[in-house]
Amino acid sequence: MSPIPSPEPLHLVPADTRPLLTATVVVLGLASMTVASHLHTRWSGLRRLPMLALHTGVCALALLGGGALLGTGVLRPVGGAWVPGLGSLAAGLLAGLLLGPLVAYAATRADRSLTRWWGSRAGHAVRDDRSVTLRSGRARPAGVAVSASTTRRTGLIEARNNFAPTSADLRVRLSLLLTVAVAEELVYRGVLTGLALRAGSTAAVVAALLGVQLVFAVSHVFFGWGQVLSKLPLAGLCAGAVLLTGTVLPAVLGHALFNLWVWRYHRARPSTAGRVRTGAPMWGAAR
Amino acid sequence: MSTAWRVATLAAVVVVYYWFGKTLLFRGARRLAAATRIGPSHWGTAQRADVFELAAAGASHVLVVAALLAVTGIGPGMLVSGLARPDLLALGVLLGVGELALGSLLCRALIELSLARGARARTRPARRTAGAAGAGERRAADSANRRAAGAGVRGALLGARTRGVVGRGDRGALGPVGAPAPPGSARRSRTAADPADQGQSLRSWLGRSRGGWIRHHLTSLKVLPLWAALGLTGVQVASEELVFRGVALTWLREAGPLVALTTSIVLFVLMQAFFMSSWQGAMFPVVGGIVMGVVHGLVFWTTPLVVPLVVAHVVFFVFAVI
Repeated sequence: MSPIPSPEPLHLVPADTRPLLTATVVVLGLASMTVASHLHTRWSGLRRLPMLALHTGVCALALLGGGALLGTGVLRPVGGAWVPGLGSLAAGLLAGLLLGPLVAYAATRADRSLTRWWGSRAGHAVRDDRSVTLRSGRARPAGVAVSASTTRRTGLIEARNNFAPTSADLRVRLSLLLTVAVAEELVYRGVLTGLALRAGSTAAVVAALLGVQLVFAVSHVFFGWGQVLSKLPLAGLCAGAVLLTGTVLPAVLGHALFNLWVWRYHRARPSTAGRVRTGAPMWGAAR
Repeated sequence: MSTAWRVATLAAVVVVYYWFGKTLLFRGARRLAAATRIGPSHWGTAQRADVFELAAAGASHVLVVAALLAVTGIGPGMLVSGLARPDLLALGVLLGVGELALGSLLCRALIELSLARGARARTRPARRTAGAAGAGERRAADSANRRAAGAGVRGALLGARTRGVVGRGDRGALGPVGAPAPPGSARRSRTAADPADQGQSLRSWLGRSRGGWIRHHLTSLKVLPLWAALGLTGVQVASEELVFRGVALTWLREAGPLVALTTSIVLFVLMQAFFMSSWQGAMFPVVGGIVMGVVHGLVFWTTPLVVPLVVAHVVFFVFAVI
């Protein structure tokens, strides 16, 4: 018996379309944030459309292709569960509901510890350790500081691969951050994990699973290596929860709660941009 | 013909045509651009040379594809395989965008790694030099640095950030030869390890990526009408797709996937590095070539339809250079 249970093979798409669709879904899913950053630096940044909204759109595209390939396998990528007794849908969902908050708690603690360690190693404070009351005080930068705070290298048609996020890119509505969490989990832990489990031999499956989690972390390189490092526990915990329960629910729940924590953190940081500057009205500012 | 001869023939094509042949072609195109005034009068000689080089490469590439089809016995039907499938062509567009993004993500990660290592390397010699400098110079430098820090930094930064910045400014105030630091150098010395400084360094990396043969496409897009520029670029990259996937993988199919895919990917990636001015500049086409070589190779091996892959290659390239 194979140590890794193999899900059902793909039969929903014609055979001559399947390889190209699979390749498209894989590269778009793996590089969804990079596609968004390219579009952002060339086009949407000038129109004040948040990069995360584009990221969600690209994830939705990959999800569409993944849905055509896997069907409901997007929601149940493992085709069962690695833990005996959780193979049924009801048991998997129940376990997912219980496991999701635990994933979020552990990922949050790990993220906080890693970013603090990275900051102390680099000789500067990555996180502001003051209380929420102090951090969200009324004092705001004024004059030149305000005008200079949202400058960004955008608008050049040849500008590529030089996306540098500002705090305004993360200072978005909670609903968008929660949508990003759901979209990322459905793509990375639903579609890409489901495809990785069909990679063939055990070694190929393990390499593909690890590769997906690694690329998920590296896709945060625009925010710095500290963020890449701190996203590894989130990726590992979410992937582990999906493999244990068989459903993507604990990963979605855990990532959504994690992003809720991120949203609270950024909402509490002193704003360096005025209310008007922080995004299009349809997305708005976090506060 | 045995598998070894087929692999050797393809390798010889890459070396003879893509290296020696293009060297001669480019030399001739540059001489033609310098000796004649073909083209609009407002073109400079360098722009004229870039356009001529791209045109010569495209035209010769078509001849090479025709010659390879004749030698290998692969029918011309391969050239249009998949053309009647709009769904696959649309997927090719998305695949090209995704491949470019994946390649650029890997390049960005490599650049950031290189910058992080470079920043650490820049700070170490400065500290060693500071230690070797004379005591008087050091005192003068510290004094100048304190003045600069007091004037420029104090009050501008708060809390832990201030402690870190001033500390690093003090250590880095001595220049590479231990000379006293001029006023204001405390802030400049900080930028060696400052993440904000990476914008300039990143730009210099991206600037290097626009040299070599990529310059031909950039210049053509700037000076030619859009249809002509896209046509020249399309002919060039479509020919590459036909050579390295259509011809190579079809001709080596009997040798099995390992030999065929390895030969196709290695030759394709090797060809990408030709005519780039530095290894930093070559990194972009090489990484993109690895991503595209693996993905296109696997897709073509499973479904031998070349036109959707040509579309993906063209979209990749157009999205990369504009």
